[in-house]
Amino acid sequence: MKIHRRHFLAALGASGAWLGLDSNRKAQANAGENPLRARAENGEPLRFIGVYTPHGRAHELWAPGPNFDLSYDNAILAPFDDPSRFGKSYRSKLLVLDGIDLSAGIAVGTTGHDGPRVILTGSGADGKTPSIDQYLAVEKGLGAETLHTSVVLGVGNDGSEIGANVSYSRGATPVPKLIDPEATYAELFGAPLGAKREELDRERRLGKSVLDRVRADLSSLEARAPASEKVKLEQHATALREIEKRLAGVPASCALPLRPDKSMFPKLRAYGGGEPYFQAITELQIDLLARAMACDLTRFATLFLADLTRSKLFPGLPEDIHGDVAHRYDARTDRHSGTPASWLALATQNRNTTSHVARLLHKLDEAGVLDETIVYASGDMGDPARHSSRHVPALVAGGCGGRFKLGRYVDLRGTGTRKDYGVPNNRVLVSICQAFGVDENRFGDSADAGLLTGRLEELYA
Amino acid sequence: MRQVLGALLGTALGALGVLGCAAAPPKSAVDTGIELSSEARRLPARLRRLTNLEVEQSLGDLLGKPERVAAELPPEVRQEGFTPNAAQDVPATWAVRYSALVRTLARRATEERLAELAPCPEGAGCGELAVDELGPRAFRRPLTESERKLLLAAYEAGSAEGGGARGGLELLLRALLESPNFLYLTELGEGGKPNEIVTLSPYEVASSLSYTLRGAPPDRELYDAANTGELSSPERRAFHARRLLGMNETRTQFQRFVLEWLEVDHLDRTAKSAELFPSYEQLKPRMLDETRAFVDEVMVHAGGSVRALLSSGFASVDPSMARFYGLSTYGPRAQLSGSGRLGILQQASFLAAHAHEDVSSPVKRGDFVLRKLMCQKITRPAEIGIEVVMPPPSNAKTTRERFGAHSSDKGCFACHETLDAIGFTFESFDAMGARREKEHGHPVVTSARAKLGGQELELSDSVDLAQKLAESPAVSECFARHAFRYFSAEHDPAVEASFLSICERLPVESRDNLFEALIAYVRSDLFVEREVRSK
Repeated sequence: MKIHRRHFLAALGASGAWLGLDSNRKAQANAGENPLRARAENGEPLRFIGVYTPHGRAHELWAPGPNFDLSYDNAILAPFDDPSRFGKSYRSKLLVLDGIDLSAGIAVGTTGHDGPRVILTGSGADGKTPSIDQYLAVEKGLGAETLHTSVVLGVGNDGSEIGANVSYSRGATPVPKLIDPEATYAELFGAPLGAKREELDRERRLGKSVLDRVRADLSSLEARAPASEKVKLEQHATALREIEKRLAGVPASCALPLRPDKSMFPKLRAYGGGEPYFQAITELQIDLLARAMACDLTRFATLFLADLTRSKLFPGLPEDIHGDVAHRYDARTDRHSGTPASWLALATQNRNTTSHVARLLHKLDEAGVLDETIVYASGDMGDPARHSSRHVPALVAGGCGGRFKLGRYVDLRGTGTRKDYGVPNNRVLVSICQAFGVDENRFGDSADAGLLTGRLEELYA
Repeated sequence: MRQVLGALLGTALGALGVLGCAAAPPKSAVDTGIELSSEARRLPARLRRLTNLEVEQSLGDLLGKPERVAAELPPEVRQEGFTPNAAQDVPATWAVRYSALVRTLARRATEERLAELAPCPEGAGCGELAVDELGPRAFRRPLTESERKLLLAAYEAGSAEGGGARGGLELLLRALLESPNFLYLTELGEGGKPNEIVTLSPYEVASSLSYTLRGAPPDRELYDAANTGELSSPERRAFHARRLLGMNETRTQFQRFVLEWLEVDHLDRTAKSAELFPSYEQLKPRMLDETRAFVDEVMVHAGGSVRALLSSGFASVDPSMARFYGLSTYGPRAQLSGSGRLGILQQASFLAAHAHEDVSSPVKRGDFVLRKLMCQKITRPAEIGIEVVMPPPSNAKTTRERFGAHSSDKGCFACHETLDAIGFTFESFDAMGARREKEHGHPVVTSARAKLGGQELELSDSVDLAQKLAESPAVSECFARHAFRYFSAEHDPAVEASFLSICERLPVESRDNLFEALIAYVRSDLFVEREVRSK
């Protein structure tokens, strides 16, 4: 995948923005090149939310039953078909993909707990491709028109290690996550520049003045810097554009959500006492994200869900979900009958995860944006006891703008080059690119180009 | 090279502390600069974004008051576990948060300390004075004429918005602190086409010197030295290096290096089973304090070497850690004899960081030794087509017995033979680093036979391992590589080789001393020359 300078400039919204030209004028001039803008004129723009789900899945209770049955006893996907909770079923908004492998990661050993690195990048630890949210929003400029080019959220862990991030900017640096709902609120809806109109206006003028100086410095630095350093400076310019966009403030038409009540989550971090609050934090992050999408503050987001180890959320399960549930999962295979009690234990945890994803759909639905959103939720492992990054649980959900045929179970296990191989997640990523009108037939980095190429035909029919 | 380094590390240090202290390190026998051959790889001409901690130091320096900044910013991207690295960029989330932080700090500083910060109260010429005073300090070099004009315009814009002198200074500070000239350490030199070698400007040399050794901006003396051009002299660079190494911030810099190298700096984000290790939460910060204090003793006061880190016979412990170790005394040099511990690898911080929540991890401990002390690349199971099956938890078997599967499975055994053997020597320490004789009622076995650096070693326990590692030339070379990665903020084996070749030229008695190695680096062409790269 090549990244053209034009795309970077489109990401800025204005090629002249950091050269001191009038950014609005330039943005208008560029509008013809922007596929998203073209679509926006014809109707609702398409949105993307990537979700990381932990702890693999108990396949026995994850795969849908005959006729796409999601509500059999102990089914992990039951929350998607739960009218008693949501007033309707989201079964028809869900595509269940079985047999997705994180192949580019597996090829270089980026698997298991490092698997999150691969989910949205289609690349191993040594790859340079950005994650698809950043690729579309920043590189392709599709996030340029909203106040936030993209939003990256997490629960419980704001670390920068590859096992804790799904969003990566170009050059493969992880995009920092917001894990504090209060910070998410301030970032998305807050008025940190001052609540009063005149104060806000003044701050806008001052902020613009600071940015002009900073851009001038960046330009002269760019003139002196060798080619090897340009990517860094382009990234910096993109960041300045983000600061500038924020100066505009949240439009008055946006109905603000309630400010999160800090007492609901006195602690935030895993291993720092935050675990008991992860459920509340997750719900708040989802609420805020759905509202941001509703107000069109952003069209691209990712959410890194927490490993619920030590959360004590599940009375019937051991406290150490990681060690005592996920590691003890004993799958049924062709030659081994497995341990049903271990499936039930893992399914309890898994269902908590799918319940959050189903609630995300519900909130997007309430916000009126579900039909034009692609939610891609994926785990880093299939069988968590084996730490295997094959056959990871992958869900494509939302209305997806009508691009994909939903309400189905697609089983791709064993369709790869070996009996126990599935298909690379890269194909899903290529299909998502194409859904956004980006003409790419390849996504990710690998020495084995075959892993990267082609869309996933099964998404369409 | 290995031979030379062997000699380098074969140097008997004898008792610790023989190398003197940071304030008065021994004078190097090398009198001239250290030239590099034209083939030797240089560091690239580059822009390195300061680490969060360096931003905090630099910002506090400019505002004349320490400010809490690092903890408020999104965490850095790491390379090899190190926060100083040239891959660091300015992501949008980082920039937005930093910008908000700067807005608050600039407002507060000018409200609280206007008289200290502004060179004159108000009136004609005060803007110029403020720009001329603060600009060069923020950019760590003289301003260009156009920069000066733009900064003055910022001051005037702030002043005109009804803020007067305070408003002018506030906006000036924001323009300075958000500038890439503040946020990046520039090592670009002048001119230079792709593949050419350039020399850093005197101000770049001053900044590099200061951030390398102190993680902080140049002080007045160093800035003046850049101004007079004296830093082109290797001797003068060495003089300033010695001076900086004697300063207090050096401690933090060396502590951070060792903590990041040892992979323990994230210890506060780990937890142990509350049921099995009820005292862990309380002792966790003490464990890190111990390692920091130990680094002060071994590295900062004694110039430091990996040999000293691995085989010092004392601990730097408070009463709670002394109790945890079963020592009869506490203090910066509490003797360890008879405790079954030695050096840094038997410290609780290391043992707890390289373990699971409930059980010890021979794999993690062995993996650390191979990666960080032997510089071996460890093949991940997936790279050779192996899907990992974790040994099932068991209350009937010892950890060592549980990992037996590795030796019974051919595919696993190839790598785990050494990995596990090294890890097993640590089995006398549980998941939080407490000594144990038994696990689940069975005696723990710490003896192992391991192939290390081409040698077959019989190891009785991890103390024995630490002593052997301390004598190993390969370990010494590996440690030098890691030190260079941290202090040069670059990870490139070819450039590391240039650094190692510089170490080789040190007098035998100084080669084991990290301070001396860094001073030799500062004296060398490697420190002041850069390659212009096209990608």
